[in-house]
This record gives sequence, structure tokens and C-alpha cells, in this order.
Amino acid sequence: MSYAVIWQQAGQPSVTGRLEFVDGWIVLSGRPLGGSPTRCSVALDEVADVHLERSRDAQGGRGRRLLVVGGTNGTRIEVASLEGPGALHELADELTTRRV
Amino acid sequence: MANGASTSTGADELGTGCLRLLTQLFATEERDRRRLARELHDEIAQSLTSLLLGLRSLEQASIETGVAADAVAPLRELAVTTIEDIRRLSVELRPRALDDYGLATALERMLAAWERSTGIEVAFTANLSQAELPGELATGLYRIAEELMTNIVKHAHARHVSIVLTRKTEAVVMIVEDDGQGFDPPGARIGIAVARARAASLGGRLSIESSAAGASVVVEAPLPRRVMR
Repeated sequence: MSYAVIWQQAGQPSVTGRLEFVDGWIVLSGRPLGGSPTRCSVALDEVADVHLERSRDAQGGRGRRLLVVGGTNGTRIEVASLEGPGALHELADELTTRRV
Repeated sequence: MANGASTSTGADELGTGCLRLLTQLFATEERDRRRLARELHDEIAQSLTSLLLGLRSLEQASIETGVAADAVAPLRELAVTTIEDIRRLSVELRPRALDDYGLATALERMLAAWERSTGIEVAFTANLSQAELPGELATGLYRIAEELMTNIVKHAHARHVSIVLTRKTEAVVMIVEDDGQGFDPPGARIGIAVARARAASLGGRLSIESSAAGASVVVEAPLPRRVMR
């Protein structure tokens, strides 16, 4: 099972691609706008926090909903879903279940 | 990834695999419904509850002080966001353009949204009118296009996508091409399996040609006799 997502790490360009679970890892892969294919993996046992939040748009208003994955080393990855209603909740549940 | 791979599947060829594919299709549909229910319950209902509580506070404050401007702005923002959420949900569940303006317009809007979200450039060409397609055929082709776009985002790493929708004498043809890294047609990618099952359910077929330079998916579905006249 994989999810179509847009993901972004702090200070990095956003990447369009997929999120999937491979063994004990969250694997994100895709292509940033105008860039080359890239990949990012996070070990599930290094995930310190998983929560949903709302981004702020350019005018400071409430933007799109995001799944935020925080690592034990302070990394933060924001994930937006391209899969329609409820997909982020499903993803958050899946992540939480797999971390246990 | 397979290079130069090509497959074609129609209703007759599905045979014994048809039941399995349809089961996947039903499961996917059920998952979508579950997602929708969750979204309505956890997001929209929560937002509206917050809105209600805020309005009650506002009502109390204005009674006591006569000043309520500071409390109004976040409530208005919440209301706007909630309305946007409901509209988005509505479109994702069933785009009204599909019923009001037909497949070409609905696809044009859907693809424009994909382009804005993903940065993948999408070129869309259509040369058929709303009146030419019955509802079930338009809906089926729309859902197939959604599945293929999701598949491209997840697996192709493409920069450009081209979708051509055209009418032949007895059929409507949709060609979806991308310049990504291709994918393995025999691989049991759920998205492709669902798209194939949908094409088969329309009495049509779905063909894939894939190479390291991209993929081309052709969906051909017969027009009902009443439309061919």
C-alpha cells in the first residue's frame, strides 16, 4: 500500500511522489519541481511525534491539512495527501499503529 | 521498471481474474467511503462544533461588554475554512462539473487542480461534446483518469503529462502519456488494476506501453448505439 503525497523537509523544496511503509521504515520518494528524483527514509522507531495540523497560506490564513512526522533527532517532515478525503487520517492511523 | 513492456486488457480477457479485480474495486470504494465518513466526523463536525462554541462565547461577551470584534475574526476564518473543506469534499466525492458540463470540462478542472498541487505540467485536449457521452461512460473515464494521475504521481516521477480525449466512429478514446520512468504493467499495481476493471466494466479495454522514457495508457470504450447515431 502506498499513498500519493507531497512531502517537504524543513528548508527543502517540496517533493511530489509517494509514501510507503517498507519493513520498519517510512519511505518517501518522488521528484521536486524542476529537480531530480529523490528519496527519504525514516525508521519507525526514530519517529517521536505524529500529528495533523493545518498549514498557513501566503496571507496567513488556514491552508491545507498536513501530517507532521517528527523525528527523535529533531527532523520534521510535512506530508500532504493527494488521495482525497480521509487519506491523511488513514495514514496517521497506519503510522501510529506501526510505531507501536 | 520494465522497458518496452506492453499489455492490453479488455472485458473478455479478464476472465477468471475479473472477480478478483472487481473485489479490489469494491474494497477501494469502501475504503473511500470510510475515509469520507472519517473526514466528515473528525474534521468538519469538529470545526462546526468549535464554531458553535465560539459563537456562544461571542454572544456572552457581547452581552457583557458590547465589544466583540476580536472574537469575530478567527470565527469567520474558521467558517471560511470549513466551507472550503466541504466544497473540496463535495468535488472529490462527485464533481458537479461532470453532471453539469460533461467529461471534458470536469477533466479540465480536475487536471488543473493536479497541476497546481503537484507542479507536474498537464496538457489536455478534448474534441467531444457533453452530449456525446452517457453519464456512466463519462463517470467511468473520469475515474480512470483519476487513477492514472495518482499512479503517475506515485510511480512515474514525471515532469509532463498529456491527456487526449477523442471520439472515433464507435468508441471514445482517452490517451494518457507521461515522460516519467515507466512502470511495470504486469506488476499488480492496484491503481492500474482498478483502471482496467473500470475500463472492462465499460465494455472497453486498457492498453499500456511503458519504457524508461515514459508510459502511454490507451483506454478505448465503445459508445452506446444511441450515441453513435
